[in-house]
Amino acid sequence: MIVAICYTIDNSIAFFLPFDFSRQGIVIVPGIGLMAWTLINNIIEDDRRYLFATLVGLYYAVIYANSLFIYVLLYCLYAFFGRAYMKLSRFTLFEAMVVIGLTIFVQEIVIYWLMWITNVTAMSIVTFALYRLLPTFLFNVVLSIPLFYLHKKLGFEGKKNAY
Amino acid sequence: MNNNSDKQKKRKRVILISTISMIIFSTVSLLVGRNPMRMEVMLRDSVSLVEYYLIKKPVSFVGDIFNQYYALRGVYEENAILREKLDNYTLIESQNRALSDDFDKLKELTDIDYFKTDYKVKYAYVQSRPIDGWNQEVVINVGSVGGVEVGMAVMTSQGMIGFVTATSELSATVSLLTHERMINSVPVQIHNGEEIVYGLLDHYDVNTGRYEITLLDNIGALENDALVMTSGLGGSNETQGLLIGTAADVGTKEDGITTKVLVEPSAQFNDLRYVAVVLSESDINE
Repeated sequence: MIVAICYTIDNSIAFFLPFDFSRQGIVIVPGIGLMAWTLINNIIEDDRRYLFATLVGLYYAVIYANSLFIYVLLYCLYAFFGRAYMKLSRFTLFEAMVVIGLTIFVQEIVIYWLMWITNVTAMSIVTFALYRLLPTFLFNVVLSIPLFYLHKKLGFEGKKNAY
Repeated sequence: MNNNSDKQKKRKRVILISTISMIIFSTVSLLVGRNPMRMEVMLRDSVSLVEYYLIKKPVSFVGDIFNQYYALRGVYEENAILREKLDNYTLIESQNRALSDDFDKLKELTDIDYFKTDYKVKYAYVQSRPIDGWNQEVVINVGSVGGVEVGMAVMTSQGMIGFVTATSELSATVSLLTHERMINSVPVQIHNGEEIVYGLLDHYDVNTGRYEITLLDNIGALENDALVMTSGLGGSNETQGLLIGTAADVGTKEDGITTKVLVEPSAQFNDLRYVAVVLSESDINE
């Protein structure tokens, strides 16, 4: 539910942000839903983690990404890394920013690679990095600050620090 | 105790099986590249409609109030310019009426019901676009109930922007001409001075920001700002004369034989809010 609300916010931000379909300017992809998932991934029980990842990925793919099901696999991947490396850790602001930034970075790269190999785009890697990856990364890292405090205030953190 | 543990095991097994099936379904869908099912389109439309009327429309309304306030400041200057243009308007209107009468007489004489340049438009607003921005598609708020069909051209006041690729009852998906791998080529004609050259718009080059047209005829020297329009010959779009852009350069394709023309798009793609679906006379007569 929380992630669905975050996706609605993402979609509304995307609707009102200037977006040039000719891709001759900066492209920003808001990722509040993904950030929320990254942060709450830690508090989901082990046996349900992948089910939630799959459901969230399916929801995003069907409603917002034209049924591109790579998102299901990506969300399962985030769940796997969350399980393997983060346990029930409590993030500091810096750690949260690093984890969120890395997740956004990985997602953008994987999707670009998929679009490239399926011939959907011939955008050069430099154009992609300068006009899409970097602005999206910076925009989302800045957005992650209020989201982190909101997440903390609402009490969605894990109970122990694994580190 | 045993009963509880059995129940828990069973529940875990159900979760595991549903997760694995959904992952397999997603992987197969990704590899096969299937079209969205009716259920998916219905879900997407419902969420998109709710979001539009609950969030986007109220926010747009408030934004529009501020925009209108700022626009009022420029009304005086605009009025002066428009008053000058109004003098010419009467002249153009009378010419237009005379030409329309001539057209009607010619139609009667030749027993033709409609010309390919005759069309009407249905206005729509952009309801949503994919967040990830890779698909060059937008969803508009008019669907098959409103008479929109697959293949119809979509335009803004500046020219053609795309065509309808899918419809549901209440919405339609518009594939933009800025798609780098178009599903259908658009038949076009280039008004190069006195001659008309035909070609197919099949590609948008993201690195140059121009359309690429494969020519079907030979072309001599390319005139400056030669207009490129739809030809209405072949394809699902039968309307002729929808502006696409201006020819900017001519060259040879990678095969070394075919000639290509690079076209500067006439439409701006950075603020797509309101669009018009082109209904050709043949669509209306049907």
